[in-house]
Amino acid sequence: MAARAIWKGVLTLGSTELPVKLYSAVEPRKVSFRLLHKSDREPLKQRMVDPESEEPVEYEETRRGFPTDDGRVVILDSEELEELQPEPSREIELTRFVPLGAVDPHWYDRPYWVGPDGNTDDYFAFAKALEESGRVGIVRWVMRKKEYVGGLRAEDGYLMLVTMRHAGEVVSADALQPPGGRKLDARELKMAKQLVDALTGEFEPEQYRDEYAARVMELVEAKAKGKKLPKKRARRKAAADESLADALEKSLKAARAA
Amino acid sequence: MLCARCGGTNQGAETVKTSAGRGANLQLKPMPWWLDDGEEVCEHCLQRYAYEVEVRCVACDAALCPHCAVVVRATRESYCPGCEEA
Amino acid sequence: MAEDEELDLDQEEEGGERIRPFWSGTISFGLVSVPVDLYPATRPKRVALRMLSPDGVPLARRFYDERHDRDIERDEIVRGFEMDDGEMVLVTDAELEALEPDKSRDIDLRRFVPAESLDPRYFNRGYFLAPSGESTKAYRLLAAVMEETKRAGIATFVMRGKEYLVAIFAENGILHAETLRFADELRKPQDVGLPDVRKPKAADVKTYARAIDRLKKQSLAEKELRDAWAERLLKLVERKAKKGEDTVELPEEVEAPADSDVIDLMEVLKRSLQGAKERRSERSASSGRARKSSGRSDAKSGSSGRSAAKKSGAKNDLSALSKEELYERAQELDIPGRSSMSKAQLVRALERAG
Repeated sequence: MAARAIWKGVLTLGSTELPVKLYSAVEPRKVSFRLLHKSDREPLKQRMVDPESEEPVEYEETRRGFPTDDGRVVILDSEELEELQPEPSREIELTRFVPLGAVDPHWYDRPYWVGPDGNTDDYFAFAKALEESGRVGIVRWVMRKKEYVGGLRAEDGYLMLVTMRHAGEVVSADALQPPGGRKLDARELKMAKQLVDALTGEFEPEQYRDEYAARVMELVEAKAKGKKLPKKRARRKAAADESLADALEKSLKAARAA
Repeated sequence: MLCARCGGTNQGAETVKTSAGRGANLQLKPMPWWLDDGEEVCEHCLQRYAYEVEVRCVACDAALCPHCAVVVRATRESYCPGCEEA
Repeated sequence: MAEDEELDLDQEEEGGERIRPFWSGTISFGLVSVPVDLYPATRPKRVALRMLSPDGVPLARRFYDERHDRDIERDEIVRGFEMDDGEMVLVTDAELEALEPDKSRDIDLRRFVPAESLDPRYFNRGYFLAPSGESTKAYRLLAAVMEETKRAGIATFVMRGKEYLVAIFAENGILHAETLRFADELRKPQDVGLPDVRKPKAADVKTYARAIDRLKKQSLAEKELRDAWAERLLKLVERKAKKGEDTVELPEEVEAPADSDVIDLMEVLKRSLQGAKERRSERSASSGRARKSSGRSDAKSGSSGRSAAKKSGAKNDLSALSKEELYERAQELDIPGRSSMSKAQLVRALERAG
């Protein structure tokens, strides 16, 4: 069951070129919620209006611009906008290869599978070489008239490209001051470590499922039939008045017994 | 400008005022997050939307607000207005 | 209200208005509870084009009922779930909240995994967690342990009507959460139709290995993450603004756009991490600082978008308040015409009222 490629490009590495196709690695979500008018449940539409006159403006008549700090707006015409845009290109340029740990995961945004577009043998040779290098390739490309940066990694024998956010869009923990307080108790630290150890395992993503979505479906189906969902009795939460040390001890006992 | 009450951008409160006309009772109810302007920018209409309601074009993966996305009834797939020809 | 005074748009600016946390709850591991507030770790796109009318007025979004061709107020809008047969089932936020699991305000870390073992394809969005309880001890303990053991805690929780898989990390003594994609939200190579993996020729692999080696570097370069388009845009806008080219004044109806009123996330995170409780008194004092520091704090990271270093020293205490707060005061004093006043107008009216 082939998905549609969202873009085609050419991976360039030095003088080598490898034509590839990009596919979203995220399963598209089916749209379910719609905005409705309360009174008649008619679906709503959106339009853009001039807030001064409340007059709608057709998409084709709209202009583009940018507000300045001092309360003005600079209008840009289509020529200027085009000049701002990067040169269209099919090139996915590899600029450097850095160690896997060198890219903070917070920079990553969206994953794409990169598949071969012809040259299948070269594709797998490159994927293998990348895997063996233990590195991630930093790539630059222009797609949908925008400049993108991403990390190219070898995953499961294939190539995966994950776009990265721009500098300034991510707040780094290093730029923040951690909360202060009294020095932590050595015994509590030890117990906490033991507890974490007791709860340590492998990351098994298949284990987790979106159960909430299923409950939403239940609710919706019940409402459609005019039924009400039985109310679940709320479980009472345990009192949280024990000391940290006691809580740790109890937890450790429970974890070890499990 | 972010709303002190609901964490959404406050454009909503202002537009409530203008769309209700002058002198109308301004209701400063917190905007539901799915209606409020968020932090993402729709690639089509350039308006802001909350990330959680984002829709991506199946053809080109553009990030869209739910109002711009063209939904194909049968398959529930979403497209940006530009890619709709498929 | 016939104001002949020049409207000083400086007064429109918010000084240090609070960002509310996205979510508040507790993180538990074992029986230990850590009360926290969740804030985004990513900043909005500062630099984006605005859609304008032919006269250059930034357009606003309106919802309308197509059949009757009339604008709909936001409080007349509800959400409906579209069934397969096209029927719309109304769903309220309250109903959705009632579906949340009993402990949904609790991120229960029942498993810890090596932080490095989390593949980037799972990462969705990042959030910072600030301690919200009286004591920071449990928070710091969890952070210290996770940082030392290099582990991440895994759990699920519901936020904004959706369930998320989440990984809690610690970095620099600060807890942060990354929502993860569920396994069935990710496609496998077979799902997109990639060919089966084939064994490549050793010689070809070697050639590529050499090419990779030639571009070996230790880390990313700062400049690679620059938003070059934004930089070009800002330069052009500045140039045109200076010459007054294609520049229009923002009408009074339109509040200074969201972009220019960005409350610096950094400031909010800093304050919430330190547990600053008295924000009101801090606000007018720090609003000037907040503006400047937001410009500089991005020095490391290249383009920081628009310079928000606009003078905003409060002319008086009133303009340091949010429009909401001003409106509330105007309501108390029963100031006529208050519901159609802009922020600046509210300030003036309140000043006059004494």
